[in-house]
Amino acid sequence: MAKQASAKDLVLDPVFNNNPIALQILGICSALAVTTRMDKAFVMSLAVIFVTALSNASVAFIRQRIPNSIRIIVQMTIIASLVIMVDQFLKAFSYGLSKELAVFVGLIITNCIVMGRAEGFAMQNNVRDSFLDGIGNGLGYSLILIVVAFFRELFGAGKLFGSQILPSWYEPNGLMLLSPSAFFIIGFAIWALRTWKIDQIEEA
Amino acid sequence: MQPENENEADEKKFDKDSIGNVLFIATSVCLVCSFLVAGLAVSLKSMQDANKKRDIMTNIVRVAGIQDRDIESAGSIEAFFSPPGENEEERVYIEDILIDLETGDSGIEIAREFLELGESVKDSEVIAAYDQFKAANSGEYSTKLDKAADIAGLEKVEKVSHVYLLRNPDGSIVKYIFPVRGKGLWSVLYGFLSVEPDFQTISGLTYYSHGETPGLGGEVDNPDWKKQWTLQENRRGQLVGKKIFGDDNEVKISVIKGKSKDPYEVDGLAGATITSNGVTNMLEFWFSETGFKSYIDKQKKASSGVTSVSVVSEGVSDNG
Repeated sequence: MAKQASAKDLVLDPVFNNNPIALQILGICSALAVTTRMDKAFVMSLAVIFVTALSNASVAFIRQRIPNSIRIIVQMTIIASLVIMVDQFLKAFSYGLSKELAVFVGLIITNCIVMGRAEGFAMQNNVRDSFLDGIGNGLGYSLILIVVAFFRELFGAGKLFGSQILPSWYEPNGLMLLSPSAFFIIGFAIWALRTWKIDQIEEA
Repeated sequence: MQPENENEADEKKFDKDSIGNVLFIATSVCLVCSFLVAGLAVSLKSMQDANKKRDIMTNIVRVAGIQDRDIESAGSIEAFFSPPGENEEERVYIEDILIDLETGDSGIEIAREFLELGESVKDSEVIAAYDQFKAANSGEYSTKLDKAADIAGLEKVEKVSHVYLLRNPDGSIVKYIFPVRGKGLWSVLYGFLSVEPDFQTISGLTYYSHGETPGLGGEVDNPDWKKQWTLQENRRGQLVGKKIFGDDNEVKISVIKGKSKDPYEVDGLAGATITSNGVTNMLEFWFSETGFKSYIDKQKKASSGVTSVSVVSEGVSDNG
């Protein structure tokens, strides 16, 4: 750890420069599933930010004591516990949404972003940096999720957060509510991001 | 890497891969995590249970065909579970009753025994406290099913079940709502079926809990599929629904593969044959002798003397 990265870099870097979905193409599965409505995407985003930040922090806290042979299991145990806690909270405070998100809250456990950050960053960095990195990566994931959900709900149902936005002559496009549309939108988002940040383009 | 604190700096070579440390870390991580998870689960349980109960009530109200605007004007879902007060607008309400599945009579005394409540406890409290799924798991207050009868895959079934009656303000019954459940592919599906007072026409089916594959068996929640179970207007403008019993008075309704052709058939779920069969089987189970058949037969007999009256009231309820 030669130099201390600034908090701003740690949080903002994964949002635009090193976005987990757009650059690393991780966590696509849930991005398809929970982006049909803004409220679902929003709750999912909060859940992932919470889990990545806290799992990163806890893994970093005990990183020097975690034996190599069981490090993945230890990370998984911590992540799984946090996800169960999120799930319990949703069931108590937002039952309807938790029923709709259903398995996808549980599947945060297998979200590559969470695991990837715990193994790739938190195992080598201190608690503060890992916590901020977790928030940053959660935000990066959320950004894409919210952008995708925005377009899907707006054009798929003519609504945002469940209230009618587009005038009644607009015929909702059912394709936008199906999973393939999320692929298109993520594709366009990656295109837009790489037009802006040219250094993200991989060599052909 | 820098050591976290001085203690570790003292131990010059702390071997984190030693067997002792592996066991220590594994145990302590598990302990801490399980305490956190268990603590949270226990402390939130009462809120979650209240949510679950509310969700079940919502499902009953929905399957009864009560619309959003009626719920809004009544104020809450719970309001429908008691008759309107004197100052309230006239509206339908839902009565919760207990039925002894074997005899078809009231099951309230059996439920009272099961809950170990005294005679002084009011009937309404017994009904509210009675959990038929708990009773199904008990020895004495459930019936063990033999393999041939157990088409819904339940193994044991309670002796007494809830039945919900949707009543007009004048007390006449608009709909009967029966709790049904049965095994699909991965899980037991829990739901409600609402039936018109002729005990033949289905007017709604909804599931409030299941663990079927999202997108395949999970499509039992799809509003388009559920719509088939509701009353639809035919070409002549009459409301018609799917029918339960065939001419021989046996359960005939089934979820078939492909498109349905008559009122005894419902379109199957694509890619979810076992879930579809599960729906068929649970309806057959709950509407034959193992389920509500004796209650239904009794009700039919009781109303046969006043057939003409009941037909008229039916017409009224349809318009209202």
